[in-house]
Amino acid sequence: MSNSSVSQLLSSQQIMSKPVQKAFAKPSSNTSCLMALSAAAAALPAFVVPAHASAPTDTVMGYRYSSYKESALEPQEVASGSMDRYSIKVQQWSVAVPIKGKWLVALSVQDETLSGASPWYMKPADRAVYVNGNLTDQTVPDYEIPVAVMSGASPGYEDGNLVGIEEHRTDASLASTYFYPGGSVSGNVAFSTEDDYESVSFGLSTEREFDQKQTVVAAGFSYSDDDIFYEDIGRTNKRNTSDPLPDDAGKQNLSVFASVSRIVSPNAVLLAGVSYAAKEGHMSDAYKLYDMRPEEKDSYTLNLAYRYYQKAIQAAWHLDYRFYDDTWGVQSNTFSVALHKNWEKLQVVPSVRYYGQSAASFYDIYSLYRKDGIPAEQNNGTAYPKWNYYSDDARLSNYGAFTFGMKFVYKQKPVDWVLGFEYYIADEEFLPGNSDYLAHPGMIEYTRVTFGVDHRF
Amino acid sequence: MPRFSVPFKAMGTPCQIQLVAESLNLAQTLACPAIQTIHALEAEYSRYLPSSLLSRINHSAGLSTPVALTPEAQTLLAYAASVYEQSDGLFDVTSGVLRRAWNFKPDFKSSILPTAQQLQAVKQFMGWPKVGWQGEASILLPRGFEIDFGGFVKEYAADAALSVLKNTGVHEALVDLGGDVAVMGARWPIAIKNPLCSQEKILSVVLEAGGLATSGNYERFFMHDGHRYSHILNPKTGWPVVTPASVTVVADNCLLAGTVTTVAMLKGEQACLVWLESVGLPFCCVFNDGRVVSTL
Repeated sequence: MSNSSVSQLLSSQQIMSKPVQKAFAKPSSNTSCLMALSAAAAALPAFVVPAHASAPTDTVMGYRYSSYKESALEPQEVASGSMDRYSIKVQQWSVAVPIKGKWLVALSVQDETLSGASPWYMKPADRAVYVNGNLTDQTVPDYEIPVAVMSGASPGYEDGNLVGIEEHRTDASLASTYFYPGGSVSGNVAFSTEDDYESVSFGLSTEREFDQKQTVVAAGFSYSDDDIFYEDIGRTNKRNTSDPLPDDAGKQNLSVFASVSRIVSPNAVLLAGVSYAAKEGHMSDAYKLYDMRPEEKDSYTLNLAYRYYQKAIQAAWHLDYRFYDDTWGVQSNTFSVALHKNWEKLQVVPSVRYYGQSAASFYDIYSLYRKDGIPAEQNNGTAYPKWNYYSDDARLSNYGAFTFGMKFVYKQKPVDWVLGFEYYIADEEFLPGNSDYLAHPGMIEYTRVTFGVDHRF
Repeated sequence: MPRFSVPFKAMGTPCQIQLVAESLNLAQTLACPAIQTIHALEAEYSRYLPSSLLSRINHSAGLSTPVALTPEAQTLLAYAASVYEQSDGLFDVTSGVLRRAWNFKPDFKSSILPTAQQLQAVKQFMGWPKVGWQGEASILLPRGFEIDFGGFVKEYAADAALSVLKNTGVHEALVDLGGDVAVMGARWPIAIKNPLCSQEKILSVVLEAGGLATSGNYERFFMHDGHRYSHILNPKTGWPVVTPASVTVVADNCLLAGTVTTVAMLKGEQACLVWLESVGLPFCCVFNDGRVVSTL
């Protein structure tokens, strides 16, 4: 439905013998009846303008603040170092300006501060050795109990201790979309800079409507080039000695996508999309001691989205499924459900997402033994053959994760207030059939709170 | 640039499209696709044209094969179903069969009223829930049923024409289909006639974007027992409604405005204000005694 409004209503020519009664002057179009009728009308071809196919008419200035905090590890999960993990604060400013009803130009600047610690490497817990019932000062590794040696990723030692990470990143992106009858073309460029990192990316995409706007086909590509550099080589070596960053470290990412969405009934839209991405370059985690990853990764994604407006509860269901497969051996399935429910000016969006993935082929929680390999006789009877690639990153293991979200949007023209909460928890046991898998103490659990405000002109 | 008016006739009423253009010629060229859209909607949803989709649906009533719906017809029916619900069953696309019992003529005399039995006989062939349509891509009416989009297709056509104009690059336009108006892009003054004295205007409003629709009983009515009955029939009683003299509503689009005025008329003189105020859109209601209630 358009944002049209009655601008100024001149009441005049009161010819009638009895005076015009004023009940109220402004349209207060918030009744449930009106909302139901508007929703039904909105599905009609004369009003259906698929989300991106018509130029917005409002200038929107927005601000977002989000605070992301990972839960601390338990003492028994940490061999040494800090138990606290990452905490990230993000501020974002954006402005989107429509020009002549045909262009939309959007600028966004983001400032991100990250601090905390992350697992540097994993090792088996040390088990005390008793001789004749007496505690000795010897230990043996207990492979059933992996523990984390925590690292401040940035850089190195201070007074003999690993210090925490403190990073500051600034992103800026500029996007422009041109709308023509039946379609649109968009382009964007983005820059990102950190103390020891720079990234440039750009993309192009297009959308076209068919069949009286019942079908929308979209396609596009994006390319990014990241450069990583360290001024202090000494610090670098402390982070990842197994795959130290070369002088010209960097990575490139090319991705392409295509999608088609179709209005399948007056209340439902179905979208299907595929994408392919090719990454090349230095992808080993610079914050991990034993991390050596292939320099190439191809990935394939299939998306299905279903949007259904359920009249009985006057709310819209958003159902999404994603299948992902890459050449590192990771396959994942994501299911998410969200309900968009409006009460007058308030929109409430509860959501839940499930994610499950299989491990990368070179994942081993004890990648410290994979770097050079270790024969059984040197390792209390457990042999670890040398691998070319290895990583003990929890994000490359077999695991499942749930995300629970709740978002509130209060629209009081001309301002929209946004408040969002998100809780995420990952665990090996959330993946079916994975209960015997060795639990990684570095599995992430986080909460995120977002506050935002959008002003429309 | 000057504003030009391109007049034409469609849906049984004089119509016009006003737009800003360099010349009348250009204005006519720009208006052309929009006018074609209106004619196409008329051809699709007229109950008088035997080739229309609506006629095909009505002629298949009681047969075995459902009639396939276009996506647009599907959404229009879904809209009608939603209005049925929101109006507590007053707005019913199947209620046209009541005309079989009433048989309105231009020289209607109050002596030819249908009997209760006649009305009852007709009422078995109406009632939207009995159609049992749940949003499917086809429809099959029960035997003897008919549907009629007369209650909203003209309003929808005004919006559709405006949408075509917008897509052809016109930014400022007004579409007026016999008082059902949709506008965009500029301040358009719209005069509303006094229903009790058609030479006078009762109100003029300036609309920048959205729709305005007016329903009145001033063109077709009859007197019975001292009451001014319209040709609008209440699907529940089967009887004509004593409506207000006219109702005008302003909304985001003409379809919505038209629907709210139509339901206001069906509610009748007594209940229309409650309805209008509950919907909450700006309105102007003129009663038969000349009283005016307006939030415009």
